[in-house]
Amino acid sequence: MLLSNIETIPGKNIEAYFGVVQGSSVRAKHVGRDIMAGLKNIFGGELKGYTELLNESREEAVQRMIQMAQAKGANAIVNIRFSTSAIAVGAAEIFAYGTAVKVI
Amino acid sequence: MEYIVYILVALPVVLGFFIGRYIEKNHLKNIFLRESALKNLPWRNTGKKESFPDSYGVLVSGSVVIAQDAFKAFLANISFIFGGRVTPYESLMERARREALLRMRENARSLGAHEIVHVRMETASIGMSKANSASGSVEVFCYGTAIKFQNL
Repeated sequence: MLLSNIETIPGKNIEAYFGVVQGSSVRAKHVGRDIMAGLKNIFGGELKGYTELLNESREEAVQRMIQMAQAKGANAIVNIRFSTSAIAVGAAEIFAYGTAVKVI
Repeated sequence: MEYIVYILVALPVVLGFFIGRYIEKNHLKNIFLRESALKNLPWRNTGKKESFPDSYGVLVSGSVVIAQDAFKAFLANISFIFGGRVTPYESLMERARREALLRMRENARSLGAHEIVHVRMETASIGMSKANSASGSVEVFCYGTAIKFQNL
């Protein structure tokens, strides 16, 4: 599956469009990470646990989007957008969407 | 007894001042070094409708979650009374954005890319309330399409 956030896939020609595909994932941190984050809020610096958590979550959203595109018979997704929203204290939703296409 | 309360309130701020400043200084130094190593990898936020014949393209991204320190929070609380610029948070955001951009570009570099087009950045706050221990931390996420020319 080829992915890009521009309207084409570099070096390929778009044959057919299959419409918008999307994937999302909601994740919460666990208590251990929360305690570490509390400490980090005194000293500052990167919250590695959170960076990983959000990356995993984003990966999952992209995988779901890819599954949806595969079900439509596409082999690439163009114009991908991501959005993040905090829906509750400690839980974030990652949403990815794009247009499924067939390229050659 | 009162002294214990004072110490408990002041200790995080004092620790945040020394350790937080040390971490920030080191981080900025590190960012500067890595940026100068990536000078020959251009990136731009245009190129959405361009076609790139004879090249490969792949989605690259970089993200970071960065926390404030207690001293920054203390200073920010003071400026919430008087208003105006909140410089401690400005430097925090700058670090986060530069770090996320660098991670995206390092990602592209490791794939052998020659440039990154249509770069988008987004920011999300992680902690929503004061009760949440991660309040005052922020996530920056950057993504773009890395282009590798075939004829180079």
